[in-house]
Amino acid sequence: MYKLFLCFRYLRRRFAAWAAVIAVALCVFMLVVSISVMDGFVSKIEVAAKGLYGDVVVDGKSLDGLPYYDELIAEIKRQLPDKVEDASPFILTYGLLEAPFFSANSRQTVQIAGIRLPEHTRISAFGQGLTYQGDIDQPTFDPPLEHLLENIRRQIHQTDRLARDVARDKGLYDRLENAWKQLPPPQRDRFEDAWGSLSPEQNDRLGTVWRKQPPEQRDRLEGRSAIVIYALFSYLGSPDPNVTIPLRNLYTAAFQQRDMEEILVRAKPYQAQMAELERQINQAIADGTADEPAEGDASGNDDGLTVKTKEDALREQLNRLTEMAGSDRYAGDVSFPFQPPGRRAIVGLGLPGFIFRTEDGTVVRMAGPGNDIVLTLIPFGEKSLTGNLLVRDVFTIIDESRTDVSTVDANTVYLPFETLQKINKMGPQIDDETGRIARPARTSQIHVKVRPAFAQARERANSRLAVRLGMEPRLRDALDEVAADIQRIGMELRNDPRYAAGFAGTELRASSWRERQRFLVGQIQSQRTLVVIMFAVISSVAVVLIFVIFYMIVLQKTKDIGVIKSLGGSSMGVASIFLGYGGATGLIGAVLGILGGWQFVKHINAIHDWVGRTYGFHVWNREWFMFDEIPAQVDASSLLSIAVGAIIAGLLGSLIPAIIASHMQPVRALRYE
Amino acid sequence: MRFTIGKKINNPAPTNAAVVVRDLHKTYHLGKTTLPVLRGVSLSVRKGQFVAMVGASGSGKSTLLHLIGLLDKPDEGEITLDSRAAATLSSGQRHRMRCRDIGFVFQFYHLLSELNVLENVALAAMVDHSTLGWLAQRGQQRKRAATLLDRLGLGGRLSHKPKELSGGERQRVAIARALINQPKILLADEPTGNLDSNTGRQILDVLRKTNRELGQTILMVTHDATIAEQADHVLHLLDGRLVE
Ligand SMILES: Nc1ncnc2c1ncn2[C@@H]1O[C@H](COP(=O)(O)OP(=O)(O)O)[C@@H](O)[C@H]1O
Ligand SMILES: [Mg+2]
Repeated sequence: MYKLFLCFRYLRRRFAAWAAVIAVALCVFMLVVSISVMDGFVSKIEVAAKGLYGDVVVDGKSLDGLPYYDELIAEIKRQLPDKVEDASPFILTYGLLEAPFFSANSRQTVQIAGIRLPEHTRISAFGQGLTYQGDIDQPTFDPPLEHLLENIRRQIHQTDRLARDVARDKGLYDRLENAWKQLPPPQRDRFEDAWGSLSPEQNDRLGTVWRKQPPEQRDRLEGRSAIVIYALFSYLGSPDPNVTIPLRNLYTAAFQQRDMEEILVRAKPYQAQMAELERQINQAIADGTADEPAEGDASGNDDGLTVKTKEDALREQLNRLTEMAGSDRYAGDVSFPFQPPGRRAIVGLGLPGFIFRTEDGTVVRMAGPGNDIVLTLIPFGEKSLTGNLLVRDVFTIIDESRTDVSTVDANTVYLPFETLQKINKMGPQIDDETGRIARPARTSQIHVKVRPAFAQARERANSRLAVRLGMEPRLRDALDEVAADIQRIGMELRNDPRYAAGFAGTELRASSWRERQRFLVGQIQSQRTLVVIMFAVISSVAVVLIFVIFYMIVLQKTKDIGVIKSLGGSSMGVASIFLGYGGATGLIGAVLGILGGWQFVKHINAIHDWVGRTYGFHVWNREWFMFDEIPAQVDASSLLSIAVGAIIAGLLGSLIPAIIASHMQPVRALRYE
Repeated sequence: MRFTIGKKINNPAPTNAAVVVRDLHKTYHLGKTTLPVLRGVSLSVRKGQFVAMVGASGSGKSTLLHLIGLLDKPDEGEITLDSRAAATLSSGQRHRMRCRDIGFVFQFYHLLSELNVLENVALAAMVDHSTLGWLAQRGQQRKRAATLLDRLGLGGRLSHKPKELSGGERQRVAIARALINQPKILLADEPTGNLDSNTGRQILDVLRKTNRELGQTILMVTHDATIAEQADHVLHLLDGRLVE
């Protein structure tokens, strides 16, 4: 009894022991936080990695693709009704992305995914990651415009919220005024007309959005508000290009380029022509021929009201080119703000230059629904890649997708499956002579969703104690089993005489997403292990600290040890006092550290934001990570092993001091004061 | 060894003796020099006897007391406590004997500063109990300790820390601690050595009272002749031997 009693009494009374407890608590805290954050990462990455794939992925092992996918999907659903929930084809290819609406020379390589909507949302988490359609069941490439508008309104709302402490309108209007002054006079006139033709409601909304921009965030928000305002005009606004184009140019100038001259710079493709026009204008003025009627300009003469000079005609031409350069449409395609449904795209939330995150986590959109992008790609579905095969097409952005894997989000554009199939030359090929299908339509992959009930039942069965102890055999992982089933069904189909010809030269492979993404997930998992090992090694400092502190205490307590021995305490008894003391130090440290770590992890984002606000110090840079917040996941079994580790550390640290104490000669201690 | 165990147990004479020491030798080694401290000490203390031991400083009084109290082992010679030869005891038996049969009082009190008066006394009782045993008898044992302290005039100081007590009070706590397990023999090593003569006398009175009223066997070391006079019997230690 005296062992326990003294052990706790020392713990309560010795200040030094609390230093050891604090050391243990800090190490435990550090481990809890790092493990939780790493676990959060791993699970987030897992969820996200799956966001792009289905549970099971079937492919043709080559760029050629897989034929008879619809037949295969039907067969899979027929044969595996209890295991498979749904399946959908998927094409993955690569291309060049251009965004003429904000920069004439922005060009980046992207991966282009062809998906069937809403089918694809039933086999992955894709639907929930959509910005504008995340809240509806059946997202498509052709959502009702009212829905988009509703969501854009909501975004404006968010902007409003961000815009506390509005510095009224002064700064913004100043900037607008500047831009305004820099406008070429004819554009200014036209804009004024357009402005005048806005309905009071449109005018109000425009003003509200502008006025709400706080000065300190203005630079950051400029891009976004320009887009928002532009989007408003796209949906609410006039179908008249004479209104939308100058407006757009003005916004672009005011908010992005900040300099009217930039419009001309952006008009790079037209620059030579414009220079030539300008030269001609100047020449005309210098020659004194400016007053002569322009040749070939019939309209000016037709109405008979005005006689346009050659200079006027040239100027008008220049303006038109300028407008075209500033426009996100190609000539002749300005009447409707959206491309037809087949030519819509969903862009990854994180495409460089399109949408990015600032340090404080604000999402800045340089593009949004209504903006057009141009994609150029090589049709990999073509048998021989010779000659000029490049396909170049315009698509209207309809939504943004977010999978939380930054490499995916910063890199991917989604197109309608059938569109990409056609562009990629994977559509059916008809023999000209016979009129029969020479080559069936193909897909690069089929994504399959395994029924959650089936997967969970498997997992439950495998987590039974009897299985864990090896008394009963482990059942096959649900996804792997479905993959094997599909492999079998695929091979049957491939050997079916009806389909054999179409399959000629095509392999078929079915595997689980985990298998496919094992490098991505495995990498993070090994990083987690590495971090945990590193912190565990660092935590061993606590053992040394406990050792030093306990050694000190033992030396201080020489007399007590003598007394205890003179009272009949054995060497083992004395040793166990200090061992118990050490173990208790570990235990209390573990409890404090776990409680602290748990609370910290729970509020990690609030704490991070507070530190950022107060000291301007950001560990978690939201520009780099496309996560909203620091992910963290507290796992009971990790906590338990950390606690056990802390107690072992306490015992280990106190072991040598305890042995020293037990070997102490009582007589020597007792002889003197 | 000159005596066999059988012989001793069959010998009726020592049954009346609390402590019998025969021809005890103890030499300390300090590097190359050897320091023979005890060179053949023999003595016998009867049950209920109050024996004082005097001798010059460094004459080996403490050494002898530690040997009798089983805190150390002699180089040669035999110690018999309550008819049991110390040399034949296992280490477990030595611990138990130290706990139950021997009470120690030191010149410097040696109280545990983290514990209060009552706990210091109860600690000695705790050593003899397992955790469960202690929890079962906790109240009773604490009451015993409190009663004992009360008898020693410390009834109002139970929850005081040693540093809040005077030297005499501390020594009385130490005596209570030594007596709580009702040992067969109380070994006191200069219990008054650190106290003024008045307080020293009070401590001596306490010891005499326990000796008289409880029949407690006491072996007390002192170098104060006036204190030694109060004992039933006085032993003189000189040059590692007892002289009459
Ligand atoms: N552990 C030890 N090592 C060496 N010498 C010791 C040790 N303990 C005591 N001595 C010496 O033995 C002698 C007797 O000491 P002690 O028994 O304390 O004498 P007393 O109690 O009579 O003053 C002293 O000279 C002392 O220095
Ligand atoms: Mg001495």
